[in-house]
Amino acid sequence: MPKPLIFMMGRSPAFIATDRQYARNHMWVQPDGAVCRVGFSAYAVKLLGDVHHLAWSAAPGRAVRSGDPMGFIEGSKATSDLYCPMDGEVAEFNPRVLADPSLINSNLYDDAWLFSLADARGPLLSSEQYLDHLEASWPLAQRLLKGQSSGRDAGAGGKPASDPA
Amino acid sequence: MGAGKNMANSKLAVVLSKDRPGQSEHEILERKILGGLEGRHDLEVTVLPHLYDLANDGPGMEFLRSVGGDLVVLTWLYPRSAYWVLDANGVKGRLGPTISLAEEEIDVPGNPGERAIWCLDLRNQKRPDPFLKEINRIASLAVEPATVAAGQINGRPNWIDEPTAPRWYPVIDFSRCGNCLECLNFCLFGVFGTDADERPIVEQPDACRSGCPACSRICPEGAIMFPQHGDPAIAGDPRISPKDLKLDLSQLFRDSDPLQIAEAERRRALEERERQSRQTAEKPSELPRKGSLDDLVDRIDDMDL
Ligand code: SF4
Ligand code: SF4
Repeated sequence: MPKPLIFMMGRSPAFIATDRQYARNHMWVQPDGAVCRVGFSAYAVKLLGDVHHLAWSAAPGRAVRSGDPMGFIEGSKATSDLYCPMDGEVAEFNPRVLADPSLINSNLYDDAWLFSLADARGPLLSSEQYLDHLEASWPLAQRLLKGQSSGRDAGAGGKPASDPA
Repeated sequence: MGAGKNMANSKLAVVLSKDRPGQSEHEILERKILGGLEGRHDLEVTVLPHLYDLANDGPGMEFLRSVGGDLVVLTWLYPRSAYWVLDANGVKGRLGPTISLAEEEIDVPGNPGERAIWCLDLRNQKRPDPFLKEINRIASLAVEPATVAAGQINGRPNWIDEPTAPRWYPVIDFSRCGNCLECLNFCLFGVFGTDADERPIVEQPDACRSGCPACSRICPEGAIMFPQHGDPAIAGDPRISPKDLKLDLSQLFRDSDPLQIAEAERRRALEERERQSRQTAEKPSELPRKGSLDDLVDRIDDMDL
């Protein structure tokens, strides 16, 4: 694999593979025959911590749009709903990752692809553009995460943790 | 039916609510439990489709509302979500402690005079025996005998075959709800309303966006459950309080470009509107959900992501 790009998350480096494209929601996209494989970027995996739970709410064969809810993931540091990065049709969910979600930590750019999309359409970023995107959105991401950890007991005030629908 | 006139009044109602189709292991467990209950004259066993998918005015919920005495419900849900799904459909009672829900985990204020609802979580055990043992224990405890609907055959389960499809909607835990009405203000799809006492109710459950659990995350009391969600804290696990929730990255992992979000929402809403106006082609003047579309675009513009 060619030399990866590096994004520093505080003092911790996230390696961004240069042999594929990225969606803004921190997933990588790589063509594989007739479909596109989708996985998490190192940045996303670092935020999640050790992944131990993954569940899909969409089904293979279903037409999806960019931003559609597709499932749920839980790591040692965080949880998240999962959203589709592009328009297309769900071809397959990676059975190996479903059986052992910790693959996402050990082999995120190869074995741990999450799902594949047929007829995938939508804007993507090159690895350099994704690095720019990370740099530009890092202050905001930090604000969001800090806001959550300090605002946890504050109750109803502040912005909702997730936008509606 | 002539012989057993009083029989129906001395039975404990046991309801097995099946999982959604397609889980063969689950079907096997269901069948084994039903087999173990066969021929029991102290029980009235009824088989229903998945509790969460039953329609409020369908035969399944109608049957559940007709049970007057103690009620044992076996479902593929956390007892807490099963209980509040029943509550939302007018099936009320106090929550009884079971192998699936320890006494100290019950936060529903029940009064001891009320009939009990005993919820068993079928996901807890792979074998039928613990459930059968637990039903025996409850049957011996159920001092207030169940009054069940007439027309059932003794010793044989009664199957209610209501056609169902997988649904997705919020369920409110009123033992936690603080009545702030944040949920009502937050949801853009008009899912919530209020009852006569100004308490939130899930008024339009099927308007909820499939897969979206957003309002459960904004509820300050952790009172909104989505029983089919992958996160135990959202699906109704009583051991996890909302304060224990981990960081939620959903906003980051959705899309961090506000223009793109707004555009996707707008496109989706427009398509929805087109679809609906095609359906109501005779009355094209009625453009549904215009207000909520504008509202939605405004709110997205407000977001500072
Ligand atoms: S947001 Fe939660 S606490 Fe507030 S009214 Fe809705 S359910 Fe109740
Ligand atoms: S999940 Fe989303 S669409 Fe459903 S009720 Fe909550 S906010 Fe509304």
